[in-house]
Amino acid sequence: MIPRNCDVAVIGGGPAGSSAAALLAQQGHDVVLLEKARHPRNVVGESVIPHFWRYADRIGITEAILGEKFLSKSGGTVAWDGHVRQMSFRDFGFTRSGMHVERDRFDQLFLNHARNSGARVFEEVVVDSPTRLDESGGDLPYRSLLDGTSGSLSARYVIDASGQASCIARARSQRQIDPDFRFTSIWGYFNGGQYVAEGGQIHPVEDLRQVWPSTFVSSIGRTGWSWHIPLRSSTSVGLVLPLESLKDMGVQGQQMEKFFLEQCRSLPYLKNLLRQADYVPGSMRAIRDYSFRVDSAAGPGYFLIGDAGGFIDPIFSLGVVLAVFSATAAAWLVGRCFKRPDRASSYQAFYSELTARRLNLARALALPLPSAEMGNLDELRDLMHFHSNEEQELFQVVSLLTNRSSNFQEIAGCATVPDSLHCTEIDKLHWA
Amino acid sequence: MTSELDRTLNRILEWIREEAASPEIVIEADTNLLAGELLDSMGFIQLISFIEDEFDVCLDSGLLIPANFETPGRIAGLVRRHAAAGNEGGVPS
Repeated sequence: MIPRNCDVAVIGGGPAGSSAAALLAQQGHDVVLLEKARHPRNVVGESVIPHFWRYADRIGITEAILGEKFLSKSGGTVAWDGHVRQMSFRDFGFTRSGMHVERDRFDQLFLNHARNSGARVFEEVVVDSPTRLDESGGDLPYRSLLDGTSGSLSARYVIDASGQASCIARARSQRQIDPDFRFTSIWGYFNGGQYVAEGGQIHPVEDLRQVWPSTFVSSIGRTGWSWHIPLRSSTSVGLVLPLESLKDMGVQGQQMEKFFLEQCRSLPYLKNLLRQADYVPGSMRAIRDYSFRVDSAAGPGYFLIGDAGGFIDPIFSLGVVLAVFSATAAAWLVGRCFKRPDRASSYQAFYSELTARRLNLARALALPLPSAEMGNLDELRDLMHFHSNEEQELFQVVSLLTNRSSNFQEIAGCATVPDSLHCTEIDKLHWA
Repeated sequence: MTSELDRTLNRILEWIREEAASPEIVIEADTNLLAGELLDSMGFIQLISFIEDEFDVCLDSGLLIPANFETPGRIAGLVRRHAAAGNEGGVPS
């Protein structure tokens, strides 16, 4: 039975919502998490960079994740406009690897962790717009998909981790599509085939446990790109294409899957990697206009975390890391708001600003075209200075991997520029 | 005044040594906290919480720029300036 009252209500049980629920329950708060699906459920976003571990440690989920033995990855390889470049995490001092994770399993581990930490978790429950949200908390109307019952949950704080839906920001008309990132993403799964590893070596997927994969990204046309992410038993392949180009080609509805498979069989690199691979029938999904920003990531009675706080672009695999970071920060600050109610508005403003700056930095890295609106450059440079030298170098390298770097260089111009960057230009991929 | 600043600095150094840094790293008043991995975003949030509780000052977002947090010495200076400002304004603590 869903209770009528709690300290903290969390909307959504992805990695962000589950992490915040676990941390707040560990602090001794009464936490209720409402999730619309039933886990395991599938979502896209399988690439996880090593920054993840620092937050996993704080959340207390490291052991469970390691125990699952997801595939480790060495870094990223990018084929952009005819240049193939590669970076390895170990060159940046990371002692723990990145991962390629099946999100149904990965997210299930997070939800289990929230439960084991003492949060009360209810699945297949849909939350509607809050009927009240102010400095004393919020009321969330909900309905159960299991038995059709409905009710209302009162909480002293609401954490919105509803992902793309971003339900609080949407209810307040504070969710805005980002005009500089208007794309459609289409993805699906393949069995078999080959993958890219260190040194641009190509291996059959049978080698995955012996030779770590590198997340492979290649450009399509002027602003589009594709991903190739080998998992334990299949490979996630996705296309990111400008909304306009699909419209011009008249691709929609039923033709989407046919178009996706044609592209996978004809694009340079992808066609070779997938030559001996079989498409998993019915696995194609698509989403359009997924880049959005919110006016404010926190306010009286609420914090927005994970994708619900804004989503830029999947190109640098930042989604899961931003999810666990924002969950950790928001959980800490909600705890502070309980302790120091007189300081609550200041903590909310601080969180909002921190989130906005992080997203702006990620946005500057990913902007597909030069000279788009970038926000306050001084603020971004300030944020850069809160990162270690190695981290700043990683930003530089990441910006150089694609030709999306010109915007970022404006920021980096004032940051440390290392003499030699840990980024290898590879002549070509070495096909087996 | 100087001894007040020293006491503040010592508490800040203690906190950073205990909470944020690995034992093998030497933290002094002039150690740059931002250049290495010493103070990440979460450590920073926790440091602000610690300062507010310990010294009964309120740090608003305008003050939260890297220059103010570069070294433990600078943080102590910031704390003392704001504790002093709070007292002058007669804000009850």
